[in-house]
Amino acid sequence: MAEEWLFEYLRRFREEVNRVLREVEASFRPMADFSRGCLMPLYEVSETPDSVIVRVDLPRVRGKDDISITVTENRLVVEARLSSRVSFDDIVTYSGRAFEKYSLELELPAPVDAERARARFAHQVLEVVLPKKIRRYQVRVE
Amino acid sequence: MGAWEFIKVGEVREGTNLFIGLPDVGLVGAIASTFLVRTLKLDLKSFVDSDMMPPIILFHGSEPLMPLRIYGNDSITVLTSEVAVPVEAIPSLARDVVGWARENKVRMIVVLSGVPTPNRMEMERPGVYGAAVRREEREMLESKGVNLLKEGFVSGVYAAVLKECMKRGFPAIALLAESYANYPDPGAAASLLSRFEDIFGIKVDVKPLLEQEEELRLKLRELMKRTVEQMRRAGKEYEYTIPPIYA
Repeated sequence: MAEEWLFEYLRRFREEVNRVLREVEASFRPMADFSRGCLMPLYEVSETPDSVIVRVDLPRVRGKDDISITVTENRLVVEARLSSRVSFDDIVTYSGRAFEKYSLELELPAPVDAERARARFAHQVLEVVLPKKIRRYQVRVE
Repeated sequence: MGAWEFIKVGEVREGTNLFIGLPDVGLVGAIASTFLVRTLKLDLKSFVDSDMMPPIILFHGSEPLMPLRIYGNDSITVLTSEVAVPVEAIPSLARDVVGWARENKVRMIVVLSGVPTPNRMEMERPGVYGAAVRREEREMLESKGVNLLKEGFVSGVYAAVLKECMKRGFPAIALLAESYANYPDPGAAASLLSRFEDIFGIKVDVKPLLEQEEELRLKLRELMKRTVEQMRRAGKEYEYTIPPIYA
């Protein structure tokens, strides 16, 4: 039983390191997927003891009907339609491309209970609260 | 001067306040300073450069510009930047900017920035706080109805400027709007600028800024991302820390 706990801890530690390394690599990429016409939004991930909270900045998204959120135990996908197509024709690296939506795919820092996830959208910021899947063990004091 | 070059393009009027708005929390300072330059149609007075800045030049209307620039007219001088200042360059920049301000007989330095506020999402109109290194300026802010920052740490480029002014007894204030930490916040910049008439006698119409709010938030994503990377290295986590002197 003790060994299982240790292996699980090391597995989660390794996953977290890989996730952070992927985020560092992502910092060198533009915040757009040119082939899909998607912009990557700014986001923040924070944790409480019971939840993972993801906030996503979605300017130019009209309302909740333009947002789609998909959650699995370890992943969050947010797509949101822009109120109108956006292009940056004066910037050479963006010229000739138009963007119609945001797309964000995240690995979560802890497993979550997708069925109990809740979301709200205010002032063009989406907040998704994802309760953690916590396994609790009763420990007897000898 | 030290590690920074001030490449003169025009004469700076003596006796004006120097408003400093660089990429920081919520890009509030950078948005406010850029808006001031455009709205008041300020003239370019100087480029500011150093080997510590990333090797970047930008083009605007086909004209080359260095990212860090000083603008002004007869009543106001503004230092703005299109890129985040690398954290290792902050102390020397603060030192040389205060030195430049003294040489050019600037009356007072005013740093513009945001203070990260967890419940910013709930706010229609963010509040504005002030901080000053000398009692005279604290009293001035209070007389204009600005709430003073009473306790806590501040960090980053504006903290370095205030520290430098403290060392030299140079008049300086900071105006800080409640803002998102990691998203561009034109709403917070508008809150700051709407206090300008009260405090400095400069009327700034913030309506165009509020109308462009969503567009600015969309366009400034990349700059915000780069700024957050620098902020992480500049001790921004201290702004959530309670100092022992208060505890």
